[in-house]
Amino acid sequence: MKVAQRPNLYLALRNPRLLTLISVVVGLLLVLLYINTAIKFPVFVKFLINGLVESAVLFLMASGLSLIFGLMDVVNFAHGAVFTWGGIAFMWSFNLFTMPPATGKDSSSPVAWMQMGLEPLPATALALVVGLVTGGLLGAGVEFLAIRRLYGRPVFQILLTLGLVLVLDESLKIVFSLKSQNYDFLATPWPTGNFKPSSEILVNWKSVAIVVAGLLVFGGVYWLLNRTKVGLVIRGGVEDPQMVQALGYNVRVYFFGVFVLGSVLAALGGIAYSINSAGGSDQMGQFSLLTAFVVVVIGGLGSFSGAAVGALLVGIISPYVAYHFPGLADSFVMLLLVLVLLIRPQGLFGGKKY
Amino acid sequence: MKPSNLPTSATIPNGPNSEDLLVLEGVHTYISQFHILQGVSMTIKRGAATVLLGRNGAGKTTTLKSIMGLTPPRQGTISYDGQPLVGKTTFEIARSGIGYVPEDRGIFREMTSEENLLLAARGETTAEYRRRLEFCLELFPDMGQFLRQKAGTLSGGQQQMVAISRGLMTDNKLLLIDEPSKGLAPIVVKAVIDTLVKLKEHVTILLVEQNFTMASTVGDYFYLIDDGHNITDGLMSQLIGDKELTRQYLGVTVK
Repeated sequence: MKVAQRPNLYLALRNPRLLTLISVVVGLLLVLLYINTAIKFPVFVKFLINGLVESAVLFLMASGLSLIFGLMDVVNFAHGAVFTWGGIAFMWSFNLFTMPPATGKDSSSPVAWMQMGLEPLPATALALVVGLVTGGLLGAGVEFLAIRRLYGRPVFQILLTLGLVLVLDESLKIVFSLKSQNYDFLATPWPTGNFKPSSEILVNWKSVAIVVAGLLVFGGVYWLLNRTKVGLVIRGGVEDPQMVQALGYNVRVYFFGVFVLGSVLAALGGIAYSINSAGGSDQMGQFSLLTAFVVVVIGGLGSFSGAAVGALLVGIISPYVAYHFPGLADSFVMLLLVLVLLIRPQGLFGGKKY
Repeated sequence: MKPSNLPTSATIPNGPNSEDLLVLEGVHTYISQFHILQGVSMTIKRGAATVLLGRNGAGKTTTLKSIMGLTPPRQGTISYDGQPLVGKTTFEIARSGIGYVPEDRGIFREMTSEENLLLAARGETTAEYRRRLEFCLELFPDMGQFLRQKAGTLSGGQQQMVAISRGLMTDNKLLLIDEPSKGLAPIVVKAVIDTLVKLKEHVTILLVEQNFTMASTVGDYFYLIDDGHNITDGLMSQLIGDKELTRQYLGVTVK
């Protein structure tokens, strides 16, 4: 007996996650097409590129949050402070690395050895290491000294990490001896310059670098979670930590690793932010943190791919909204959050724990 | 809090080559303020299946959890293959060669069956993983059909196959199996019984079971506990003959 087979496309369309993805993409395209008719093409592309860079910075911030908050259910308000620390540490060390060797009175400073008069490329590379290590050490310290005792106790996590924000924000000013709220690069970090794909469009190489960094982080973490044994242990540990222990894995070590990784990603976000806006401030993390929380919730708690889609959605639409409706620029992200939660309370890709 | 009467290695009764694989002596376990195990003692013989019997709330599951260190005992000693287990963490206990198949199976629902097995094959090479997977597929031929299916979507019987296989993915000498018949259809229970009987040739089993058919078919020895105390123990064949004991403590009538 032969049974008529349903076409595969039909079956594929019944997958709710795929359906969500398709509707998000189609909706985004429709919005962009509409906007395209309203503004000139080069402006449209310029906004698109800006939007992509914005998305990448947002994603770097949100990816760490997605691991710590979405996957491990730790409410970490200090994430924004780690973002700031990473960014400022990067700028501060970059500035020092590019300075000519100290002479006279300056050479007694404890960081005088860092003044090597380096070119932008090696200085950026070294400063990148300093920024990421700063983020990793902060994350390790916070997990080891505090969060470790508070897994599964969200109220305590909120109180503790809010307190940590105050401590970290103030100690930042002391450690890097900040004189004002804003902090600037003394030289331009690598990559500098730009190129012209057409006569009217200008693309900065730093924008390309930031987008590539975002893509690499997405690919790397996705691979780690879904294709490696470490990812299996983490996913299992989130679902049933006792059972993972009973299979012979030390779950604490893995959770510690995830927390440190999330913090390193926050620092990378701060670094990308500072490169993108050619400077930073001691408050940059706090501003980005709120948007990143929204991105993670829009994408769906625990869904790493969801965080990426959420970042793209917010990052790409924001510049157009700010252009057409300047009054909505700040509230747009919240409106989008409300809209998504009304339609899909679990977030776009929620329910899938990785 | 460490119990003050931890044994020194000299006092451990079962050496690596002894006939006794696992020995519990006077184990007291509390869950919050409740005194669940009040001095349970057992000896699990190497290469045999021992069934732990008792009414609901007698402390059977807590006994298994105490062995695994999930509810660490406050008093008493547990030694496995000559090594003291009390004071060790759960993952260290698992690494010493004890597989745990919990009540309600403890499957990772968001993963596929295959990922569940891969995760259980801790530190094994790919070749060794394949060999063990093959062994499990011989034991459960049906499992091949749902290896790539999300484990949360499987039936109870299928999940039980994955849960038991998980215990076989590393070189475990002892399997602790908690109520494998729970929530399963009678015909599936029969299949699980057949599997456990086959499995006895490869691994020592400590089984907690309410289903008397399964307990009496699989078990070589039994321990009967009630209210966290030992009541009696011996050969399974003796228990089947003792109608008074089974009626009083298990609420079953053996025909």
